[in-house]
Amino acid sequence: MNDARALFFARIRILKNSAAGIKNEPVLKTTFIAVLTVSFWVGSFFLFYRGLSFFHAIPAVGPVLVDETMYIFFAVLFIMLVLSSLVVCHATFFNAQEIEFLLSKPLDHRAVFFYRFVQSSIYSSWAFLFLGIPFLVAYAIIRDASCWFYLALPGWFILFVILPTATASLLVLPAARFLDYRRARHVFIGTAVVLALAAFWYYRSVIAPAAQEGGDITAFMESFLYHLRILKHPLYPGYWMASSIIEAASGRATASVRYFFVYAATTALALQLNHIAAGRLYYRGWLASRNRSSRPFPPPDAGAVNRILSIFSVLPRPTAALVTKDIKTFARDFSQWSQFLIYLAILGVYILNLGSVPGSVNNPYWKMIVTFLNFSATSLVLAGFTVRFLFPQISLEGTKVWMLGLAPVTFRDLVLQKFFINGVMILLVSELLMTATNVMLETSPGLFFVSCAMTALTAVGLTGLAVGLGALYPNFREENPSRIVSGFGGTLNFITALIYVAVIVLLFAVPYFSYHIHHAVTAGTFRAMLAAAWTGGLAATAAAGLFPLVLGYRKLQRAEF
Amino acid sequence: MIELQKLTKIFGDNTAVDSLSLTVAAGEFFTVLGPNGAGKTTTLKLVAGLLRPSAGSVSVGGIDMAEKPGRAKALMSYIPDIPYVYEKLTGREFLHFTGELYRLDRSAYRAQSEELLERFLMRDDGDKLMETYSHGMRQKIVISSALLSDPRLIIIDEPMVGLDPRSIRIVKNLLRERALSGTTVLMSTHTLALAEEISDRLGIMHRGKLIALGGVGDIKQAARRSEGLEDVFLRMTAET
Repeated sequence: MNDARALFFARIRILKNSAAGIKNEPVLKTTFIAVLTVSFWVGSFFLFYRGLSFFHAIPAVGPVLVDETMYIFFAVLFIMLVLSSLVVCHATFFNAQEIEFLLSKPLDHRAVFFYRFVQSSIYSSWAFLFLGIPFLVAYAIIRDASCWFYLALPGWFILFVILPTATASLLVLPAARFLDYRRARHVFIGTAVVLALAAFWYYRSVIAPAAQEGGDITAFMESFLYHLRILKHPLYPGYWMASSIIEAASGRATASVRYFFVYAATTALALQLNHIAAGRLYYRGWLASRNRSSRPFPPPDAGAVNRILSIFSVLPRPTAALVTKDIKTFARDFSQWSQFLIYLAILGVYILNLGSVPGSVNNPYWKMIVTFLNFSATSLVLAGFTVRFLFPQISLEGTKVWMLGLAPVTFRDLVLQKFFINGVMILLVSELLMTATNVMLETSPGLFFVSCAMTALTAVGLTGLAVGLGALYPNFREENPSRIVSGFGGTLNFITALIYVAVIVLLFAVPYFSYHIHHAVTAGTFRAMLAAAWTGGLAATAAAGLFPLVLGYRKLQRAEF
Repeated sequence: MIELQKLTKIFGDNTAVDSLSLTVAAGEFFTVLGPNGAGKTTTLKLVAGLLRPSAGSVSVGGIDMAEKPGRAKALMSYIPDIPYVYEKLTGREFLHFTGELYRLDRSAYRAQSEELLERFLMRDDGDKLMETYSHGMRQKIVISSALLSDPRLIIIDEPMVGLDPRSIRIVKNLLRERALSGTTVLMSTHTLALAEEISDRLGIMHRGKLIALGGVGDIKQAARRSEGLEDVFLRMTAET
């Protein structure tokens, strides 16, 4: 206990010292960040509020739909947090240099484990704080919850994020102890494939047939939610948390507390199991992870992979060298590509779900809503993707950046290389995704074109934003991408990316809804509004994408190493 | 080859390098000695263009570092004290990466990579990921990558840390060979015996200033001592 106290005390001192450093930051910068954060919360609150109000207003099923949204939110979030924690726990428990230092001291290994456990919990769930607060506040207002609901929110938040980390660490600890690095990778991929196949089977045999049953959107949603009842299984922790919140919002305090304690008791049990597992497995697992050996790779001018990568030889030689290095580094880093697989899985699930939206929804109102929702969802996934994978790229040059600083490549070249190569890939993937989903939704040709053009804008904007802010706020001392992202720059990237997506959606949604749905403007006005939307979209993309990019490489050029 | 004019570097309240003026001739092997915090690494980084001077100037091969950093850096290779490398690349891939980054002739850098791997007894480990390398193996790869571009100036910070005796001998020979063929070497070290054995001239730094400059014999004579370099060094850098 004393060991853990000493470790947390040191961490708190580090945080205090870092916080003291904020005083030295320019006032304009801290004010800007504060305003941006508050704006983000207020903006996302209104978006959630409008969305939930819309569901709530649907006759007969409205309030039920709002509660179902809460079940889905917590059910999906729980799975996401477990998956995210799996990768973060592995990196935080076994790969950090600090561990070697700590385990060389006469400390209780369990204290070291729990010290890192808390960090894993924070790293894997910080984004939940940003999105969860406005979502739950919007829900509470719609459900007219009492003031006790708001007071209890921090308790729900803290409790909710512990169990996914505890679950993930119970999987990571034995994996690290008993499986070597390569076998662990195989198990991870195998598990991912099995889960993907299971999800696909569930979709094909249960959800898809149900989607064909009715063309009416209300009936479809009822049917859809009915078939997602698996997410409301009474033994599923996401269900307990959602139920606790729903019961509290409905004024049923006893039921709420009951579900809260079921979740809390399970968390306590998981922590106790972690305590036992950590005592037996953590140190041995860490030792096993040290035994990692590298099989020889083919020499750089031989082997199939190198031959494929030689396609980049059309680029200038330093750029080709940097791209090849980035791809090899990514492909050989378990913590990187495993999270990449998770993103692909999210996209896969999303596309599967879209397939269940009946193409026979002919109501233009619904059609437009679904099209814009599809664009928003795709852009949000891309925003998350760019923050997670593109933002850390400059930082990951890390302690090696001296080498690039000396080489005859400028930091402008480095930043532009990352922007163009990633931008092209993001553009291709996002356009492919948008085209596929538009075909599935049977979108009209006009909206089809506009949504694809909007996607091109956001691909450029989001890539520039992530690479630019990554260069503007690099963390060269950190090698764990999850920790890089959870710092100030990553958080700023996350917020600005979401704001940027919201701006693009609003710019185009206003003219379309005003003209096609509400018939509030003439055709001439609609065309003028659309021209203004394009101008605004281009300006927003330039501001979000190019501005940070230029600032970023200028800062790197001035940097000292 | 190197000309430092009243070079100063201030970090907050700390003057790490204080109005340092120094000239190192082409082909000269110059070693900077000094206790911890004397300003040796800062000086080397200023020469390499990895830090900007607070005052004064750095000129390499007649090129002002502040005015034309790209051209000045093209003449040199820098080997840092801690050999940070791309962990997920193999040693051989790292050498090829360096060759491409510097746009070197492909067949030449490939041949030289093999020669250096052979010389450092790393040929069998060249295709393993560098995350599995020891500190010394990384240092050998970083030194090899610095030599690939055949630089006119090698700046090397604490080169022997982590190297085994055989590798130390290899590095010493390599650096001496390069110096004899006209390459300037600017080295910082704590190993006084190494400095005494390998250098043409030495500079002793203390609190950011150069307090002694010359050949080993000159410095001993200036200190009017018949003792070894270590005693002279300790006396000169003693805190009063």
